[in-house]
Amino acid sequence: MQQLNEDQTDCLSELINVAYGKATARLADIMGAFATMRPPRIAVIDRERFRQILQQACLAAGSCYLARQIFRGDVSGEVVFLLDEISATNITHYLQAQLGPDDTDQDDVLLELGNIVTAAMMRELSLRMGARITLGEPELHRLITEPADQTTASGAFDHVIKVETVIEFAEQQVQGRIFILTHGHCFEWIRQALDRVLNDLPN
Amino acid sequence: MTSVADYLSSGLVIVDPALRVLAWNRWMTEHAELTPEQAMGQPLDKLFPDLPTATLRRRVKAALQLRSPSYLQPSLGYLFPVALDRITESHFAYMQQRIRILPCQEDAQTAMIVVDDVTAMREAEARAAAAAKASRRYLELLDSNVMTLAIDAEGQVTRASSALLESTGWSTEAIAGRSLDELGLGKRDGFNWTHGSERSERPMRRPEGEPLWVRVQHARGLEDDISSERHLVLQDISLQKKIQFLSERDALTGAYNRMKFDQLLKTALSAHQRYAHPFSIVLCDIDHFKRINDAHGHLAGDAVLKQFTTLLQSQTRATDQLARWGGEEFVVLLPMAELAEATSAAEKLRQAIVADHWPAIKQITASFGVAAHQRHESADALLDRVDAALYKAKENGRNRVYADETRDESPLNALSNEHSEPVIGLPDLPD
Repeated sequence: MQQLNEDQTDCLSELINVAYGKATARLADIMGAFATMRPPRIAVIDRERFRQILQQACLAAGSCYLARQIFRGDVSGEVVFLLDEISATNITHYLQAQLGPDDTDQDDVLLELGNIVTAAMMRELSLRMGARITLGEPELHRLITEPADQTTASGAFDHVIKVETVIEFAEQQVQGRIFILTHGHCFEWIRQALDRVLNDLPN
Repeated sequence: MTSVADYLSSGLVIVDPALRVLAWNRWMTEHAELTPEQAMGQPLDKLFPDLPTATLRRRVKAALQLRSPSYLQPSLGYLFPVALDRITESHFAYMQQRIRILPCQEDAQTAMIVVDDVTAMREAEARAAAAAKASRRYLELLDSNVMTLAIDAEGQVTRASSALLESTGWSTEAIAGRSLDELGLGKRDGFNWTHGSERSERPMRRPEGEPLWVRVQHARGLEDDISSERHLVLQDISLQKKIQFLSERDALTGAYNRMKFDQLLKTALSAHQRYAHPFSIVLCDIDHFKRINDAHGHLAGDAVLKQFTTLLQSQTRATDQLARWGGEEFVVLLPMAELAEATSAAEKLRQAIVADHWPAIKQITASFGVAAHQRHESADALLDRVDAALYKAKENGRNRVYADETRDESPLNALSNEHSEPVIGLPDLPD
């Protein structure tokens, strides 16, 4: 499995930091939900480690929610927004209180949240890296036990960029993790794009 | 709206951030039953009062700001009510819709709401969910009412139904990994997994207390090519076994009763007819038993009968069958035993009775009649002969064995009868 070097990791962390910032700003604007975000921790993991993380998330909280979105274009893959059961319940209650009587469906609220975070982040990220991508329709899965390979579709992807942070909505601490799953050749494209971004930086 | 949009089998509505209709296609006209002229410039919530306006506005805003599609899952299953006229039964009264909101490329302030008819898909999902729910309930019903065991390739338990756990007292953790053999259910190889449908009756071991008698059967049709897991269905037959035990045993002594002995005799006769297997009968009677009852009471007499039964059972072969014939008379059926062998067995019993210590009474004796079955002889004829032999033993002074020497005239046994003589036991002991 390919890895990012130190410079590339720093660069990606910075890009994602900015992208996450945009995402929280969008959330505040669109959903009226004011959030702050801790600096995300970035790591490149393989799909077995990804499977273990999902398993641990389910075991720790009883179940967890996955909002998945396919992306296609210069790079393709899948973005997975992972929330454990407690975080999902907290954020849903908070957002439902902000949004009003129309929004009683937990799944729909979580999908909206996932779509805004993912779309805002991926748009910013792709813009900075000079990539054209299109996001597919989000799907929401509730995992109760160990996820099967077909549920996460991780069988098709061999590189997973893990973006881990804590988003704070008012007093609600929401542990949200985003995973960008992709193939080896797309990962190589990302590495080259990061090098281009690094080269364009003023010395 | 372009003419291409009018040919689409999806609804298209172009709106501004305030949800005012700027255009819509023919699909919307047909399904909303409003002309474009009626709709144009009107806010959507005025045209459709039940619309989740705040949510829709927010999704439009998201699409416009993110320049990326946003989606809506209406809680009712639809955004625009389209009544369904169906000739078949449906789960839904209104068309089920998938809603996507796309930012218009040419205008940053307009968005396109795309409505897809997904009724057929939702119908299939609803049917599948209903079927899955019914299956789940059926499985729950089975789990709580039918005793089942799943075993792996090594014959070790992988799963047990709740009904089995409840009936046997095992816990899920305690039974997992135990072998069939360990549970008293035999070995995995003992079952014919391919074609067999035979049922075997076995005492299943429980963590504590008496074993549970079960009828075990291989549950066919649950195998797959990938897993070597096999399933067994067990039926609690403990009550049946208890009734069977009570119906064929003498209540006082625990020996077989006369009805059961008749069955055993019939079976022995059949075996003799089919395979020419010999068998003999020993009939014995406790000498002067009435005196025991009279002198020591009926409880002492009952104790003698119980001890007598235990003694006879311990001194006969595992294959011999002991029954209480009535009162103080007992009968032993000895399969595969000729007259000489049966007579020796009777003599051994007689000596054991004399040698045993009988509390309160100190010593008792018994008389024995012995007869070997002859070819073509009926059960009644055989019993008459053994009864007569016992009478002879009594008549000759008790505490002795008398073998019936009636010659078997059948050609097979003619030679063996030539040298047989009655065996006489010890003289009667003093009372």
